[in-house]
Parts: sequence; structure tokens; C-alpha cells
Amino acid sequence: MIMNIKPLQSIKTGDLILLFSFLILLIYIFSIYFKFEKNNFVEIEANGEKKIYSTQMIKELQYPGITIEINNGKVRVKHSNCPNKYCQMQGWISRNFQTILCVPNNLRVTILQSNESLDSTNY
Amino acid sequence: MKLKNYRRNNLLKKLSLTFFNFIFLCTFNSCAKNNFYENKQLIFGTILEIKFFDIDKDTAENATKEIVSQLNELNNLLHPWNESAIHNLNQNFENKRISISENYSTLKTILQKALDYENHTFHFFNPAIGKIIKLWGFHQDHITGEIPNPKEIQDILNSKPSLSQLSFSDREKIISSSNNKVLVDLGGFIKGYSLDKIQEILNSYHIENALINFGGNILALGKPSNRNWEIAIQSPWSSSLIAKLNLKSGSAIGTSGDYQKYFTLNEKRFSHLINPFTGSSDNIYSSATVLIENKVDTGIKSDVYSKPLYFSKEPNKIAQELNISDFMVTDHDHNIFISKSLYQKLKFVNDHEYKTITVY
Repeated sequence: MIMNIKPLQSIKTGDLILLFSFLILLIYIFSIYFKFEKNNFVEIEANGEKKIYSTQMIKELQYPGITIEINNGKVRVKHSNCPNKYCQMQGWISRNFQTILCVPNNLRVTILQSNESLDSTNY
Repeated sequence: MKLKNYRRNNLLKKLSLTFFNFIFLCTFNSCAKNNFYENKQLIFGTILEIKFFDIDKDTAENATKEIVSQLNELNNLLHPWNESAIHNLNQNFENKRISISENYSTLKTILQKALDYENHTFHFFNPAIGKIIKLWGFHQDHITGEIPNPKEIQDILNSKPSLSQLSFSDREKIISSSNNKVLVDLGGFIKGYSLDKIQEILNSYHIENALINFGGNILALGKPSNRNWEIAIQSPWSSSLIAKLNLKSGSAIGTSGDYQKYFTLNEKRFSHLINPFTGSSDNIYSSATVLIENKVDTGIKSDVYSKPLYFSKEPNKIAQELNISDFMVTDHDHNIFISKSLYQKLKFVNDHEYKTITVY
């Protein structure tokens, strides 16, 4: 009961360390998420068929009912024939694990963290 | 109460120790990552990608700056249709008098190197057929896509344009051509030549571990950490990936493909790769890839040597004569033809991309 009335007194050095650690952990996790330059690949799954593309190019890909545009590190759905066009409205994605889904067209686009072992693409 | 506190403190100690460990690992990890330097630039209408490993930031930035400035200089020298020294030179062949004297010696060196490779590749790589490429409409930023008059192309072919028709006068600093149908287009040479220039710069900065990708042509030096640089080769049919490959230090890889610059007319694809013997864009193969591990002119070879393989009917014969042991060509029907040596180095991915693989 006494500890509940004076909460400040109950904070010990250990608690501060713990708090501090969580803070740093949080910052670290965010820094991973906001890493831009390493996302060199995009995985496109259409009708169950997966393909990995390099994002380091300027290219339009045609899928049934949907056009995907890759532009130098970013990917978007440029045009889709689905009724709500949520996928199209999502705009560009470029960060790790960002995903665009188009359910009517059975299509998924996911940015991949650069495959740890792949450094570049010859074209 | 005391026991409880003790237990609680003990737990806290353990927890904070774990977290300190974690933080230590994180910082350690990010230190290791700081050893990587990456930079990307748009030059020559294409992407230059620079990766260094185990390097301090200042050296990396200075080297990058110098690479970019040298490539821009090359752009001002060699651009086939924008204002450049080569563009002026081409106009001089048609009797317009534009002075190139300040760039004379650099141009001479580059043109003589290109001539060496023209002769060496049995004229499959021919930078003198710029007029034909221009007729096909590839000498502009926006390709309009019209099929040129076959008679005009035949006229140029009949004059047998070649860099050997150029003559150099050191005293007057004039380069002239005995054939006024010559138009120099070093498009099939610039990327490789640039890679060699970049390698020189890296050497002067004592940079040992680097990966340079200039418009798809890749040069590898050293290695990142304890593995080799690993790259992927793009599929010529879908721009998906087709294979993975480890690059040895000092090696370069280049691909000529009909999927980079082309126009489509009546559902037929016309690529910017023009056969110098027929003047046509109709070719048997979709792409030709060469891997060069030779230390001399590595970049140039990775760029130039893909042309004879792409245009020739029997790429394996040409490869033998040019001493290219690692090569791969692909045709329009999703078949792959590959040398044994390269086959052993590649790891194919995306199996549905191709139908057959033939190993020479």
C-alpha cells in the first residue's frame, strides 16, 4: 500500500536502466523500419505465382487488370481495374515489408529487405 | 518485505544485464553496418550504383565525387547526340568545321581503343554505324519508333563504315574520316570504359572492396566481409531475376539485351541493338551476357564482348575465338545457351522463366 501512495520513491536505478533500455530498443526498431537504401527488391505474387524483381530500374509491369510501376527504388500500382482502387490510392511504397494488396486481382506486392546476399543486379 | 525486494532487485539486475547485452549487440551491429557506404546517381541517362565496404566516410565521399565528376566529363566528351566532343566530331565528318582541339588527345586515345576492339571482335562491335542507329530513331531522348527506309540503310552499309577510316593529324589536332557516312556512336563502349576509369580512381584511393553497377554493367573489387559480392542477372523475358552469381575480385559482368531500349510497332519489338552487317534490329537472340575475369580492360571487355555473341549465329564459336570462357545467350523462345564454365558459377532461380538450358 505504501509503495502505491509514493510511486516516485519506488523507482530505482534498475528501473531507470530498464526504461532507458526499452527506449533504445524502440529507437533501434524504428531505425530498422525506416531504412530506405537497402530495399533493392520487390516480390510480386499474382495468382499464387511469386516473382522477385529488382527495384533499381524504371519499368512498368503488366498483370491481368493491373499495371505496376517500378521507379528507381519505389513501387506502386499505376492502374487497376478493380472497383475500389484501394491499391492504386496507396501510392508509392519503398520501405521494408510495405505491402500493396489487390484482392479482386489476387495480387500482392511486397518490398523486401535487400536479400542479405544479393548486392546488385546485372541487366 | 526484504526478501521480496531482494528478489525484485535480482530480477531487475538480470533483466538490465540482458538489455545491456542487447544494446551492446545493437551498437556493435550498427558499427559493422557503418563500414558499408552506398551511393546512387543518375548519369548518362542511367543509374550509377556505388557500394564500398570497410572504408571511412571521407575517403568514400571523395572517391564518389571524383567518379561522378569524371563520368560527367566523359558524358560531355562522348554523348552520341547531345552536345559533346564526339557530336562535334561527327558533324565535322560532314564538312562542318568545329574545333575539337582541346579534347583531341583524349578522343584519339578513346577512338583508337575502340578501333582495337572493333577489329578484335571481327567488326561485330562497330561504333562507326551511328548513322544507321540514328535512322532507326535511337539518337533522341524520346524514341518515336519508325522503321527507316531500307535503301538509306543499304547506302550506309555499302560504304562499309569503320573506325579504321578515321585519320588523326597530331600537328593540326584534327580527326577526319575518309568515309562521310561514318558517325561515331560509342554507346556499346562507354559503360565498360567508364568502369575501367572508375577502377583506376578506386586504386588511386586505395579502395579495395567495392561494387560498381553502371547501367547494368557490374565491376567487383575485393569482397564485403567474409563472402564474395553476390549479384543477380535479370531475366530478358520479364525483368524478373533469372540467376545468382558470386563475383570474384576484379571481375566484371555485362549484358546486351533487346529489353532495355526498344520500341514496339505492330506487336513486334525493335531493339536498339542494330546488327552492323545487316543494319537490322532483327536478331536471333534476346540477350548475351559475358563474365570477364581477365585483369586487362575488364570493364571494356564486359561491355564490348557481349555484342559479337548477341549478333552472331554461332556464339560459342565466336566466344572460342575471343577466348571468352564465361558467357550466356538467351533466345526469344525462353531457351538458354550457356558455357560450361559459367554454368558452374551460376545458380538459376525462377525456374518458370526458361524452357531449356543448353550447356556448351
